[in-house]
Order: sequence, then structure tokens, then C-alpha cells
Amino acid sequence: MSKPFLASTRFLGPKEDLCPEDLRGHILAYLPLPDLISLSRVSSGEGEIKEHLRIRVCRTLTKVGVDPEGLLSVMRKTGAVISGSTALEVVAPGTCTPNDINLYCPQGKAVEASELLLGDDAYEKIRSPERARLSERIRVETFDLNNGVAQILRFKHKSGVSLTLTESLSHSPLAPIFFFHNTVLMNCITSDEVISFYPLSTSSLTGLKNSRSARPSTHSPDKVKQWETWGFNIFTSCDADHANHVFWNPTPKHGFCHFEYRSTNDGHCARMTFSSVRGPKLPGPNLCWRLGFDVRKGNVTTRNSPVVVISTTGWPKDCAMKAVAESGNIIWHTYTAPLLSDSETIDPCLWKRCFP
Amino acid sequence: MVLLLTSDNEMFSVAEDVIKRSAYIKNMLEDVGESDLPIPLPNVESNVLVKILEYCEHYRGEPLPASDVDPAEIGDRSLDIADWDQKYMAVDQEMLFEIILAANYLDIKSLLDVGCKTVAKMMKGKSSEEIRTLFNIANDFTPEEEAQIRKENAWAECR
Repeated sequence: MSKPFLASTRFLGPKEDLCPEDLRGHILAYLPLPDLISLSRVSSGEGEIKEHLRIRVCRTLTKVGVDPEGLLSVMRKTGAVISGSTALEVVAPGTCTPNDINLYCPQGKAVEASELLLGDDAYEKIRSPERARLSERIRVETFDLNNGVAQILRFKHKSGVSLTLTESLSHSPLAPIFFFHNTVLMNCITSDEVISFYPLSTSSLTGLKNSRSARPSTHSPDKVKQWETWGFNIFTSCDADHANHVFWNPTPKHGFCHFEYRSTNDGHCARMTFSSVRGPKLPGPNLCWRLGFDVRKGNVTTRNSPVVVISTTGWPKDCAMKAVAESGNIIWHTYTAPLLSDSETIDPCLWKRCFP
Repeated sequence: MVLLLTSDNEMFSVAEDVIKRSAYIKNMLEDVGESDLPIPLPNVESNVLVKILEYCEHYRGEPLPASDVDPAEIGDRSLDIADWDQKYMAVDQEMLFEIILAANYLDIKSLLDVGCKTVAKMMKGKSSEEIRTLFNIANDFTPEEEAQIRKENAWAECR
């Protein structure tokens, strides 16, 4: 027998009789995504929690200054997802005040997404700052390193809010997300669900730094420090979190590990649907990723960039070389290079590809 | 002084600046003006009103929230609760929900926020099983459904 979509979960049990629905909504508003999911698993009929999540997404978008239904419709048609501070606020309420929208669309969907946005008179296209476009191009062309980004388009909503549309280099819109500078931001809102890739750590305001070889301004020590002033604890290394943590023999703890090979469909991802759409909700292939990290040997620190690959079977843990040979689909290679000790930057001449 | 009559027919005489933390009473006093008649509170029992007045007395003299604040709008969404409020909320579950209901009825936004935060805090970080125990909820999932849920939520096993 199918369960009614909007049936009460009775997440307060008999106490629910003491607490009208609007007050239950007030209680739910304080809870991060992992706790909403736990509540929805308390008893059958997860409708009230789902409905709360839908309202939370719409309220957050309204607060930022855009029409939620219009934007969700564009996302549904193009497979685009929202990430950044807006998704973080939905996953962990009260952690930030989003004031812009960061939309990520699958490869080849930027034109359609752009046309749909401009079809709504509320949006106008604005010119991307020259500096931003140049830095993206230089990073890709000179260093042969990419960040999962094909192009970036910028729009302004009539409310004054800016919307950045980032086209992924993959048919999955998520590729750029795993290059973000820390795991706290690795969440997304699709047209039908909310996903957190590091749910427990994010909801306890803890993140892992995702070190990148070509360090964009977002990865600078000052920016990381800024997160600390906002109440987050961003670890440079996950050593403190694990016992007996050895580089090639990871002992993962809820996926919160620099050495863990993660996948967008693994059990460490917390996801919750807020619509009645059934079946797969993320377009494109599953992605596997491993965060970037530094390894210190003697006086030399080697930086390992983040790695993101397409995989339908998950990451072959035994040998990274094999992953390249078998899938034939690898779209990012990992690089290691020694850091210059004084400036914490990398001399491009010292690049060394560790994958063929 | 303002006279309040609870649902169990107990009369309370309360200083106006204490009970004005309730937007409901404040508006009523402004609408009706001075009166010797008690304000009936048919949704609040005397033992709950005692607790409510304890809260209002503690925050006597503190600025009242702006009158244009939408009660449905939740301001600070962090789960931080002041020390005194935590001690104040250290009551049994029955009383906790009664306080929340009364704060909602009397329109005391700050108390409503603290009450809802307290319940949210009780749930935060708990597994579904722990929440069932906490609120005495029956598990009506089949073993197959439970197995599926566990498979989909490996992260939750680490709680």
C-alpha cells in the first residue's frame, strides 16, 4: 500500500498533539539537513518533513531576492543546481546570510539556462568582469589544470541580486563543486532535492580544506580565516579526526577524510527529496572525487590537487592508473608539485603529473 | 497592575511592564485601555502562567521586539541558547510543550523561539531510533524498509 505523500510523520509522537503544525514547522526550521532526514525516518509518512524542506528552499530563495518557483523551473528543465552559500543555508540554517545565487548547469546547458533566465523579464545578463574571465583562462591554458568549469555567465535580478551561472565541464553539473576550497560548501539544491556531500561535519560547522595546486583567491589563507570568524572550523588536515590515519591506507570516518575516494552516490551523501518526483534527480553521470591535500616529508610539502572523475562503478581503490585505463572517461588528472616554502605557491616549472 | 485569569480560574495580578512582553496582552491593554476586569486566558493553566511570568520577570526592562516583526519569521536560526534560558527550560517535556503553546498564544516571540530551539536541540544529532525513544514513537517500518533506509543513509550510522 502506498503511503500518503503529505501524511504527518508524527516526529514528536504523542507530544505532537500538544504542538500544532505551525509550531512544528518552527522547531524544524532550526534543524540541519541530517536531522531532518533522521526525523523523516522516525516513522512512515515523511510528508511533513518534505514539505518543510520545500518551504525552506523557497523561503531561502525568496529571502535572497529571486522567485523560487521560476528558478526551480529553470533548474528542472536544464538540470542545473544551486550551490554556494544558498545551499549551505538550506543544509545548515543560521550559518550564513546568502546574498547571491550560484547556479551550476551541466555541460551544454548554459545557452538553454541563459535563455530561460532571460525569458523571465526579472533577469538581465551582465558582462563578466575581465579579470575573472582571464584568470580562468590562464589557469586552464597555462597550467593544464581545470576546475571543472567550462564558462561562467553572470546575470542580475531586478531585485539587485546577482546570479552566477557556471557551466560544468561534465554532463553532471556538480564537477566544479568538488574543487571548492572547503567541504562546508559542498552541498547543492536540485529542482527536487537537497544534497550534502559532507553532512555531519557541515552541520557541526566543521570542514576540510580542499587544497588546490593553482590557488585561486578563494583558497587564500585570509579567505579560509574568514570562515573561522563566521564560526566554522576548517581543518587543513583530517589527521586530528582519525586514529591511525595513514596516507594510502585510509581509515575513513563518515567520509570526512582527505584520502577517501568518494562518489556522488555513496552512502556518505545525505540527500532528501522535497518534491513528489521519483527516480534519479541529478542529471549526468556519477562523479567520484578525492579532496586535495598536502603531504609533508622532511622539509618538503607536496600538494595533491583535488581529483574528480566520471565513474559509473565507483572509484577503483586499488590503482588510480587503472581508473584512467579502464574508464577512458577520466576528465581530470591529478598533479603534485612541491610548494615554495616561503610563499606557499607552486612554481609552474615544477609541475609533475602523477597520472599519465 | 494587570489582572489575568487562567483556564483553571486562578487570578494573577501582574505589573504591566512585566506582562507587556506578551504582544497579545500589550495590544489588548492598548485597545481596551485601563480596566479593573481581568483578562481571561482560556488556553493557559496557572502552573504554566507561573513559568511564563518567571520568564517575563527575568527579562523585565529589556527592550521589547519591534511591533512589525512577523511572528512566523524566525530570526536567529542558530541553536545557541543563553545560560539562563537553558536553566529555565530544564523542565519535563509536558511543561516544555505547554510553555511553547502558551508563548505562542500570548505572542511572546523570544520565549517561543527559545522553546522551539530547546526541542530542536533535543533532536539534533540523534538517530531516528533515539528520537523514537525520546518522544515515545512507535516504529512502523517493515524490516525491509528499515534495511533500505540504513543502506541509503550510511552517514547516519556514524552518529
